[in-house]
Amino acid sequence: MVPVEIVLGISLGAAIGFLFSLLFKRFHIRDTKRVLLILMIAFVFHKLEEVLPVATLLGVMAIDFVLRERLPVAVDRIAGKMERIWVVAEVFLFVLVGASVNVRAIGDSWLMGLLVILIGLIFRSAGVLAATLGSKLTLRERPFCMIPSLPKATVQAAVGGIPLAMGVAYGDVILSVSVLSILITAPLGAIGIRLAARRFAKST
Amino acid sequence: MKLALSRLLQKRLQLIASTKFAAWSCLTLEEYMILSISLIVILSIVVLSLFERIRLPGLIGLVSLGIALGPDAMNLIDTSLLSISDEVRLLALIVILMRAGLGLNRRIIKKIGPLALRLSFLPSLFEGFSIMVMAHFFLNLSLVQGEMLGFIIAAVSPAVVVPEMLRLKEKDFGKRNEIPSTILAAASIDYVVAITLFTVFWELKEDRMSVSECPFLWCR
Repeated sequence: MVPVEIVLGISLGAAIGFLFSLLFKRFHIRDTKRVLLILMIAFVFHKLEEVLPVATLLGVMAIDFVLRERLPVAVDRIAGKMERIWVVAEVFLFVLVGASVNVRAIGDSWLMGLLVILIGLIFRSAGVLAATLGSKLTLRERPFCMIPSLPKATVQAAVGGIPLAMGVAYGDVILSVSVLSILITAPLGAIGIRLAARRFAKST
Repeated sequence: MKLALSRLLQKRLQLIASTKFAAWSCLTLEEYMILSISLIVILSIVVLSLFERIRLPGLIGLVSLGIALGPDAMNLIDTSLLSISDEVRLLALIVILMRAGLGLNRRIIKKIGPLALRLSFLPSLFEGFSIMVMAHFFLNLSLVQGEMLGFIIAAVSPAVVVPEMLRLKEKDFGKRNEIPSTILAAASIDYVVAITLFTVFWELKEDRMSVSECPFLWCR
């Protein structure tokens, strides 16, 4: 079922992107309005997920991809506008992620939770190294890839409380470990990326 | 008419005056939504410039600000804003995925495709299943519960990774092997993979009676 969703999502997104490119070629619309239009359609598209089995988040990326193929110059300007929208979106995203982090839920099991998270991260890094096998990456670049795969925030804040709310046994433990994973990995990842990039740039 | 209006206005003012102080302890009136939005924006700008000065990523400041203002601490964010919090975060996430998509083109995808694909599911699978087992031993969760936890935790946050990678990309970092683009694409798909796996096992939990707690897909 999942592969079908992905293929469907990407092709629907590509179709939307194609329609956008036709629209923008036919009519002159200000860049700001274009960006708003694309964003709003993307939101509506994402809501489709509730009625149709499509992976719309990949579809959203497909919209941009087709647009870039068909209108390379306009898309650069649109990307610039999107960057400005992110300045606002970032504030609300992260502040609201923080507000939905249920700090009091951490409770007594934090030490064990920490252990589980750290072991998970070690396995994750092993997974990253396994994925880079057979690629052209240099020996320096491979460990670098481990760091940007660490940070967790958005999903854990959104989903961490669901099992508890739905009455799953040990839902409180699931919430507590999710909260803990945000508090540990988000700063670790964000600082780690910068430090690693700096060291990496120096050494090459 | 005029009298009625002024009386209404007076009543309104009294209401505001009486709730003014109570408001900060229990922001439940809808009028305080704009107030908490402005509070968030003002404090965010302060926090962001502070973090820029001490050279730490701004998102750490923003998340801490959110925790401090949130219902668990000072409780200064209006409940109506909190109630649409999920939707607002989703919108922001779509903005970030759009930015990720705008950073890719056909040439890059051809170059990084296979690696990005492997990076998008191998790390999450490793992490998800290792947490499943560890949670079973250390936290007494059943394997299905552990698996849920595993794939909630396994999802990388595109909101953290994508902007950082776009920044590195602008600096031509790792240009030869297109590392920022690879990670950016992988992070966006990784997120989808982890969520999907979580949902799969979530449904498994629903008809647990028939599948007797077997956490593996191929058991069905």
